[in-house]
Amino acid sequence: MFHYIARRMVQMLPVLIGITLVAFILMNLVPGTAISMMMDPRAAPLPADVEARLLEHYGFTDPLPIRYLKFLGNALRGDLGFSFRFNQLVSIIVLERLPPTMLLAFTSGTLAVLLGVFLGILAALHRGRILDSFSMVFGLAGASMPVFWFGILLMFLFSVRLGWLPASGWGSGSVSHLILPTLALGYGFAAIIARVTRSSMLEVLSMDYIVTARSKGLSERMVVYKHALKNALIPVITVIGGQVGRLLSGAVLTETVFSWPGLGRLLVDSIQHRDLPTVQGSLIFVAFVFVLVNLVTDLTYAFLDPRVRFE
Amino acid sequence: MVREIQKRAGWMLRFLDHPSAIIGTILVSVLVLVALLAPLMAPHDPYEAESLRDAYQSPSQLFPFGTDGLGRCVLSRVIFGTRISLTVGLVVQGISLFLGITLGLWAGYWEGWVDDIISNATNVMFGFPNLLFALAIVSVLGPGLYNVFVALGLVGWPIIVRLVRGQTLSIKHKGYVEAARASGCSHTFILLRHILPQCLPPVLVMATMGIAGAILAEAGLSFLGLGAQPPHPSWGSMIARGREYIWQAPWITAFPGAAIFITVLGFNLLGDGLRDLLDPRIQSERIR
Repeated sequence: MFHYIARRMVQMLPVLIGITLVAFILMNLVPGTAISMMMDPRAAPLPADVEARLLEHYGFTDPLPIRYLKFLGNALRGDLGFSFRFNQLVSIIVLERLPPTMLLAFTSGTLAVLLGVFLGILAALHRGRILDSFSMVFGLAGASMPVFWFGILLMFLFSVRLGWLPASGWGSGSVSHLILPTLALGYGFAAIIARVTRSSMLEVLSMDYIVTARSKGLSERMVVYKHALKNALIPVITVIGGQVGRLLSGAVLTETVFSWPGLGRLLVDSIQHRDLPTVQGSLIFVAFVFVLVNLVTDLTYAFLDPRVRFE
Repeated sequence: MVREIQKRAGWMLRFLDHPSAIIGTILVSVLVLVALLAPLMAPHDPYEAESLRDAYQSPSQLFPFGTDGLGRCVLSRVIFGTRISLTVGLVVQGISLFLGITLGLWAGYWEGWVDDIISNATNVMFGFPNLLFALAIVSVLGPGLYNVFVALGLVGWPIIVRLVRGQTLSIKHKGYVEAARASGCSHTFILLRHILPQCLPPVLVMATMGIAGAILAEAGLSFLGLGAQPPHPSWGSMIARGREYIWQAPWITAFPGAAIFITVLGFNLLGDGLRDLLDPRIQSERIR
């Protein structure tokens, strides 16, 4: 297991470096100089010599590879650049916006896993019957539903029409503010998990050792929960890890719908204000989190299924 | 010959036996028809209202889906929006497939350092959540529908590379490929004639699902104000505009959203059906 962890960590390094490189190149493709972007577009352009001195002062005149290495060095020390819009370090802004997004991702992820696994098992155990069809319709609808539209529908029903729940804001994480965004973001995720759980469960239930378990007279409950479920959930874990990217993407839209002050909202705002250091910083941060989540998923998988380690 | 016909008939029969494939095909065909016949089907001009006095009309006989804040017919705009969404789906998947198949075949066939570079680039791309990467590209290129094509096309290829590369790796050591090589076929011929066709069934499934994903992503980007710009009737931007008036005029938001949902559902169903039909493992399960 130790070798496997070490190998996966080493494999992760080029990916992490690649992520910073891609983000860096992308942000340096933007037309216009870094100084002109900080200026109000309606203002008169700076005299050329002033702009040149400012560029020099902020180190924008160095060749690109040198600037990338400097950027990488700073990033390793936790400095992702400086945002002129907030007049603040990007790392600090990102960390400030992190808790709301983590909270939302956590609640909707938990809801999705519980609901998805439950419905998936239910569907598999009632294969071809009404409960199965119901959860499959639930799954298909969830996979096709635009998350922002679903959020607006929920908001319309529960906030505008019924007035039960607040329509927007995060209320410092109060439960009533959390319900609608959690439902909006969690539903699509739950739908995918339900579908995977169902097919994985069906596959396991047709295995020989389940037949053996049944034929030795174990109760159905014992067979399902003790023998089938554990093995059926292993592929589900991989899918959950892989779908975290989808969850993070969905969070951007959900945060916009519900004016949720998280990372996604920060990213969209920064794009609209052409605040490129913040865009670059939050992109790299989210990508790192995503890669780490995938690493944890892989390790969990290897821990649960020893066959993976020896491949 | 007879066997060929039987094989085809078997495929058709399995297709007809598959409800999601049928529903998906019907939905997608209807959407294509709507997109092609949009000028004939739309009751009003999707870009200009006859009169501002028609603003915020609830659904009626004259305006079946109501009107938006500028008095434009929502039904006509939803109908014309079909063109945008389907174009996005096709163009984006076209770019992703071209890049993905080319790089995937290349990496899988030649292995070595070419493969190392392509596989590492693919892994890096997998490190970015899709929509966030598209957002970053749009932030560089600027908002607009054409830039969304590019952004989503650049996001979609890694998954195709992974699929095609894996298939190529497993196919290229098969007897018939080695026989082709021994008999003097060129590498290009082998790749296009012997390996590519074997990769296509799973790629087809992936591409169908990918169209659904691209349509959802475009809607999301347009909803954020980064995709199609006014007055283009993109479903996502219609929802973004309508959201502010959800209290007075929920229909402005409801119908374009339903259109996205139905379109994405259609492609997902079709993809599901195709997967069940083309995946031999599932076929045997169905027969059982």
